[in-house]
Amino acid sequence: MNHLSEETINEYLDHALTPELRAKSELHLAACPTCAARLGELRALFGHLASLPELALEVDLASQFKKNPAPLPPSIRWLTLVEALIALFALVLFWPLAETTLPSVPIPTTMGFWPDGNPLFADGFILNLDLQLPRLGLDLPVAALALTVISATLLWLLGNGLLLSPRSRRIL
Amino acid sequence: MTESPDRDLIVRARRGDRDAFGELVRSTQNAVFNVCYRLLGERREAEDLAQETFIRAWDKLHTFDPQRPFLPWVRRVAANLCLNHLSARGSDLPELNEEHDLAAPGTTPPLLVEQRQQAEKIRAALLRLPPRYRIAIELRHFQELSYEEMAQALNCPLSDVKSDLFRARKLLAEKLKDPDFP
Repeated sequence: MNHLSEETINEYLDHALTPELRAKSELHLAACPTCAARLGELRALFGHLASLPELALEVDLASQFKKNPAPLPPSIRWLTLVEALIALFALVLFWPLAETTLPSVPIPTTMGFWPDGNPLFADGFILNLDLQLPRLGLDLPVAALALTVISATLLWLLGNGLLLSPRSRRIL
Repeated sequence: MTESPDRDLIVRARRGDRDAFGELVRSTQNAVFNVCYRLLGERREAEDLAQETFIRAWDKLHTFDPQRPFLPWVRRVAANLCLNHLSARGSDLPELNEEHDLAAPGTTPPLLVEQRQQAEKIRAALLRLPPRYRIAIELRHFQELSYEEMAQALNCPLSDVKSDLFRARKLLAEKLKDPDFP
């Protein structure tokens, strides 16, 4: 007895045979245990594949296609403005302090620090910087100025921290 | 031809409406991810390829007929991307991830364990196939394409498609019958 080819058995299960060929195959399968067993194995494989479950996706791919990013909440926008104003204010207040402390700043040589007695450099410094800053006429204690600068710095760090937090930053 | 339920979303998306495309993505992302996972076997890689699939689909949306359903098309895009990715990656076999399969309702724990083991065996057997055989199984059994549609999707002769599919089934059946596999 001639058996059905692998191709015919596969096409039989795929419903890809012509009606005539399908009818002939069915007659043969009814009479041939070998081909019926091969068909059964292939059908079992189809069942295994059909039973394979789907996995759940754990990320949302749709979020990258959001139309417009959500605007920053009003509180964050106001905080940014206040930060900028405080920083500007602190800069204005700090200016007189800079006038008194920066005029003479020793800068060490770029070749490294040379102790006194170096044959090239008599005093260890090659450059004195003499800054002439404009005077604003404000006279404030150093402690008050320092407090202002420290407060402005802390506010700046806090504000940037809020801006950089995931809930508040813009979606780009 | 009956109107595709996605038609309105596709038409809006083709006009540049990203929210509309986002809705299409949301409704098909799980299916696309599973196409990639069946072909690649590694979750992170499958997520990356799924994302790339939708980016590619967004770029090519102007070529898509809005009368047709979106899911079959985007799944084919995913399959082709994965095939290219596998070709570029070479024949390295990935380590199979621990699965989190959806359990059938009402299953008892021992049955669940057996189902998971069977699923892992099937996935491992699929990953052992050469990429072209894997794609043939994916397109026929999971995307239900006809031989002719497979040949068109893969841009190869019908005889090659049938040969790959039948050979793939034979190899799969042998592996699944092997009690020592994987």
